[in-house]
Amino acid sequence: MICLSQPDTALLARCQSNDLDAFDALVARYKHKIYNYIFRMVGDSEEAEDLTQDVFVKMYVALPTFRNQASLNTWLYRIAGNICIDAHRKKVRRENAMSGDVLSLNDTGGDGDIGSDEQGTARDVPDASYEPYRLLATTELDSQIQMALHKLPEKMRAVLVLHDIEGFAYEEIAAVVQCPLGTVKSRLFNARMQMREYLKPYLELG
Amino acid sequence: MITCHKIKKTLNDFADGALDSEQTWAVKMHIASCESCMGELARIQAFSRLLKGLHNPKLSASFDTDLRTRVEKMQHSRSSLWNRMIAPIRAWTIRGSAYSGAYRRLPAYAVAGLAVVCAVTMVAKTPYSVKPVTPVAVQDNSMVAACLAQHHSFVSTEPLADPSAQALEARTVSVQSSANVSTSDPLASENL
Repeated sequence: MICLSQPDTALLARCQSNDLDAFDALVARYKHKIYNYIFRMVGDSEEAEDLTQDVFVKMYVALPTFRNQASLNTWLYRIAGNICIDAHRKKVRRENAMSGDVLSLNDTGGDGDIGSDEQGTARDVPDASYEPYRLLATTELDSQIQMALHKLPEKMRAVLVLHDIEGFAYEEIAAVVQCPLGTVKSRLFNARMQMREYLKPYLELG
Repeated sequence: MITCHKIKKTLNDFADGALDSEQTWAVKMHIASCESCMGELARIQAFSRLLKGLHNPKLSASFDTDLRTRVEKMQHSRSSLWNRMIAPIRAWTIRGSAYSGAYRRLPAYAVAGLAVVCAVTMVAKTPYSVKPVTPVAVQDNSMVAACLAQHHSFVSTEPLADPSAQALEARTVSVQSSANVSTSDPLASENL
């Protein structure tokens, strides 16, 4: 019988021995957090659920190579972030194929690092494919916040979600998104500035 | 001198509790008497409350069973011999996808296939596939046979003076051209 209070390391060791009950325990521990993060990144509940499954499947497949160099929490969020990036790229390629438009993958479109250049890494532009009517937000305000989130470039959105919604510390975010601490702070600062601009009517103080 | 511009740049960190004690004290002292910075801090905190108040969606009821089914199917398929062979490669590509963008797209099966092709190519090019020269081919050419016999039997104390040390091909060509011109034994003219 699996004890749900067992630490991650113990459950991971049992998973590595193909213990599916231990795998279920880890999923139960992290599924909501990972799902929330992915939902905030992609904005669609069904897609977020599929991608959340993908995260745990990838975790299971990569278990033999997990060396405890990072915490399981960091590792899962890192997988989730990469899965979101892949899903976004696939979506853009599909749309480009349908519309025939050529969209440069080198278009850095602003990633929140004013004046910085992160080795020409992945394109980082607002998600043009985002469809607000597919939101599962329960309130108008939630809907507006989610729409504002999707106006942010992906890298800024990730940092904002991890810090202001998921409650990660700066160092944890740096480990998840694999960038320097200063970059995390810079992206967070710029993300908040943009979000406050988008949500100005909702921030009017009495 | 601490200016509003400097303080406003640190207000986000102040709201996050990320400043050291000295910086925190400096900000508190400033905003106590600065309406502009106090207002900015209030907006930052209001925004933070807004995000923390978001309603998170719920996973569907079938999430756990769907995921378990996927993993059990994978477990079953990985028990086959082929999948046991490529499991390390698959894990490496997954690790690459998790940790680095460079290897994200490398298909495990393509790598395994490439390894098989390389192995087959190396086996095909081993010396065992080269047919050895049989004595029969040499015996067909009596001139060459004579040269070889002479080469093997000759012992010289001065290797440099040993004509049999010359390239067998060169001697064969010279012997053949001499044979075309005269019928005399071409080897008799050489100083052995």
